[in-house]
Amino acid sequence: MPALVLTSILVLTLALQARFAAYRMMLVLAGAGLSCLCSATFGLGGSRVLLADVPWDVLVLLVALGLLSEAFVEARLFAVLAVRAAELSRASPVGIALVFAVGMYAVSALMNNLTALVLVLPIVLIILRVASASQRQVSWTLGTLLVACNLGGAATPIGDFPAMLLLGRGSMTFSAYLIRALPTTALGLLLLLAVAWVSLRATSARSSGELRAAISRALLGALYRGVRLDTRLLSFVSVVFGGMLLAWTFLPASGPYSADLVGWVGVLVALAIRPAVGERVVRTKVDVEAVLFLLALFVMVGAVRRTGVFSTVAQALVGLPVSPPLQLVMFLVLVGVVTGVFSAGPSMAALLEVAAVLATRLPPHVVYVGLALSVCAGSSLFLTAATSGPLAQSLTERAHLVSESGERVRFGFAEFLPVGVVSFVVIEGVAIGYALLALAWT
Amino acid sequence: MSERSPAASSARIPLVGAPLSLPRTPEPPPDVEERALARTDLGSAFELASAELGFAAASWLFVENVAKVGGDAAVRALGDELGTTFSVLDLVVRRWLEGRRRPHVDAGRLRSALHGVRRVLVVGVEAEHLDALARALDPTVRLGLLTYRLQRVDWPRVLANFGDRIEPVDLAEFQGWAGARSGLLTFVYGERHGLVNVLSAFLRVSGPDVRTQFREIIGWDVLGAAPDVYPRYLVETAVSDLTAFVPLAER
Repeated sequence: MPALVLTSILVLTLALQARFAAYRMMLVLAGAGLSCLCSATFGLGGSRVLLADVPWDVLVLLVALGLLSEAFVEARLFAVLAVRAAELSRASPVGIALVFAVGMYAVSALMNNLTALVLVLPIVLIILRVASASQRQVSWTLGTLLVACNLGGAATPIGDFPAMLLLGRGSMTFSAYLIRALPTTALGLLLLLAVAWVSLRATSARSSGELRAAISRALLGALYRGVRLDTRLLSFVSVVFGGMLLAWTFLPASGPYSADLVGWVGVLVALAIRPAVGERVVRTKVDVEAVLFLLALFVMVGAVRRTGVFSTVAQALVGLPVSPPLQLVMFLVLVGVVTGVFSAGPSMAALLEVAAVLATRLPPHVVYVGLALSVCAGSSLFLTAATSGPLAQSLTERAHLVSESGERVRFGFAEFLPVGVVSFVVIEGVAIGYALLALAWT
Repeated sequence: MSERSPAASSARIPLVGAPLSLPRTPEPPPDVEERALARTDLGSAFELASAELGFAAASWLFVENVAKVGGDAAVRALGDELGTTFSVLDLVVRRWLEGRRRPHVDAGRLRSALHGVRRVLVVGVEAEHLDALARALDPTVRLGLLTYRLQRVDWPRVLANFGDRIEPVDLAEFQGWAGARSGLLTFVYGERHGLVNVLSAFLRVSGPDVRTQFREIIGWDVLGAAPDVYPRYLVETAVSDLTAFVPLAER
């Protein structure tokens, strides 16, 4: 009974928050509160017990990396990089998609991609607006950009929440994850860019392309004419960040100097160079919504875990009359689909429990990296599966794009879907391929 | 200049949002280049540029770049396509075809007109002129920019070019900038018969009740001549409403 009730609360809350995104916070906080209430009633432990199970170190790391991204924003790094990327791409349809996708992959691997997207997307949208880009061009350019963000987030242990969770829980060390996930996600990006290139090639051969590209470059140069890098701030923050990366790589994960502590201290040192700026950033730029959302998820998942549901699911999976590699493949596909529906945070928080059981029978790094890649694939399936999707949709709506034929160009769920399905297949394929190859070599 | 088709042009470029997909009036340009450029539909892009750079700055930017790619024929086609909607662009296109080039921005006379003023509230955006103003004035003089415009503007992006030098000023709070040592500055798009073209925002902040609250109300001409076609985004006001009129400094 407790298992049925608490699992129903979790699934229903996740479904409702995905369906009614405008009330996401109210719904997940209500779901978490209800979980605490039911858990206490069933004698499984109330809020005190469930809150004690929350991986606070992951939340600390999330906040620290978010603040570090803001420090780079203060140094105007992203705006300057985006303008340079526009120049490098020559504002051509294929160039924009390729250059910005590679750029966002790199940025997302190291910091909060939402912060970077807010500054980079307006520049991409200006180029698309000047180009009177077709629906196909807009869908593939923005879609490729978003999927590249997801891939970058999965490339390093500090790129996005799922990988951070693996690092925070000690499932994998910083370097063990990095050496496996970085090349695998880079392969995924290459395959994705190849598909995007084929799709966008047709839009390159337009009679007025050269004129539009020239105006795009001149316009961007004029709109951002006064934006200069704060080199002093950038240098200092970069050095501190470099030190943090070294600490994450070389300090033992099981030692007293955990990843979250490195993040906590590191970000304060980085902000200390400009105390006034640091104070303002800490007061105003912490992503409270993301922290509360994940906190609520952890509470709900923790309540379900205490009923033993995850262990039961994992035992059922490993009890299937198929070989362990096939069990893993089935699990990875399940992760991808569940993530597509419920988004990365909830699915990772819940399915990591199942993965932990699988990792007792299979090499842990295969299971966990496969899991992170499958979450990445699922995040790329639908526009609503990753936080950056609705942001891109909202910014695109505000940009009022119009195609050459005079039709309004949109970037919503349906427009993203073709890119999402292709990306899902590509990344899930890479995840399964990685898992099978790694198992064969282990 | 080729014959213009006002109906086709104005229908294709609305004030905001998507160009209407009406059939173009048959007017085959003489060569392939012109035909290609006539289909460029740069209205949406120009609207963005004019909102955030200003009509004059955007016009010169478009004309120069179009000329670089397609020569005078392309500039003429640009004027044909967008000139009826954007009167400042129309004038800049004509000047370009007459052989004139982007005028030099000189804030020297403006600085003299603003002598003794400690706060300047600017109405409208003209990128080069704002840059010159920010450079020319003493850093102790506060500079504010009225963040009101009929077109959509990404104000943080506009203001980011000036660091903290120029402060955003909302329409509801502009009177906080009034005072015995305050100036109100508006960009002027040409003068003719004692009337100047200004942005409608200027009329919102320069009514009879407000006029006396600013020591100086200055018009800074950024065009040098009044547009010939109906100035759709602009309104007229009397030169006598200004305490000083700073004409365009031609090269």
